[in-house]
Amino acid sequence: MSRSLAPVMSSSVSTTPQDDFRTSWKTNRTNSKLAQEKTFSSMLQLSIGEGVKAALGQAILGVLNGQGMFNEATDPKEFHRKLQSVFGNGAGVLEKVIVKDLFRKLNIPYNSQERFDYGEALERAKEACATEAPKK
Amino acid sequence: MCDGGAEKVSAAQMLETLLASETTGDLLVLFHRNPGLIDTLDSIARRIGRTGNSIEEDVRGLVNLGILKTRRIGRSEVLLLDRARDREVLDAVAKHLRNLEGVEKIDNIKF
Repeated sequence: MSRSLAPVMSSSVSTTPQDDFRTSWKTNRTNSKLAQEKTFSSMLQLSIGEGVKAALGQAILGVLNGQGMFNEATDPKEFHRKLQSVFGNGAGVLEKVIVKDLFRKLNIPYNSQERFDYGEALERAKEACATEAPKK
Repeated sequence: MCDGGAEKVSAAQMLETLLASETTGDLLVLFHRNPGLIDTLDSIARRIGRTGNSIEEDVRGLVNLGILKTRRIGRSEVLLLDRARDREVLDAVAKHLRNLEGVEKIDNIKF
């Protein structure tokens, strides 16, 4: 008996039910945030794949994937820099194609008349993804 | 050597036409997702939330490239995807991008 309790007693972590709940709540919240980020990241990767394939076809998507073009897709500045190095002004067009696909998946209306910023669009999609996730 | 250069320039120009504007991007997505689509300029414009007049120039670019072609059906002129030419253009661009990657790799080598 005393042997089995020893590690618990010496531990700095309190084992009162209240603390258990707090720890569990914090862990769940962290896990949930991580899960949301993971969900968003996969959704973005899917939209990049589907968007680029729809615009430029499987062969070009394959080449770009091979070049690691989409490895840091959640970092808008890096993503834009990489796209621009290959496509020049066309980078913006591809970003719009990707964002349209992502917005369609998240039921976010897209307005072509509004000023477009890839980073801001991703933030908007991330928020929508976060609010949609708890409903599921 | 010269031929290779000419081919690269032409593929680069193709890419420029393909990604000339948001409208060309929308048109490519529309036709690639619906490869059997045959419709008038105005109806196609409506499908991507625009007007016929506003997409005319971009459509002309894709028609000149050969990706889209026009046909006359009765009194209407319709647009459709030329699948063979589309594949040819996209393959040429893919080859161009592959070569570009090779050039970049050579450029990045520190001697």
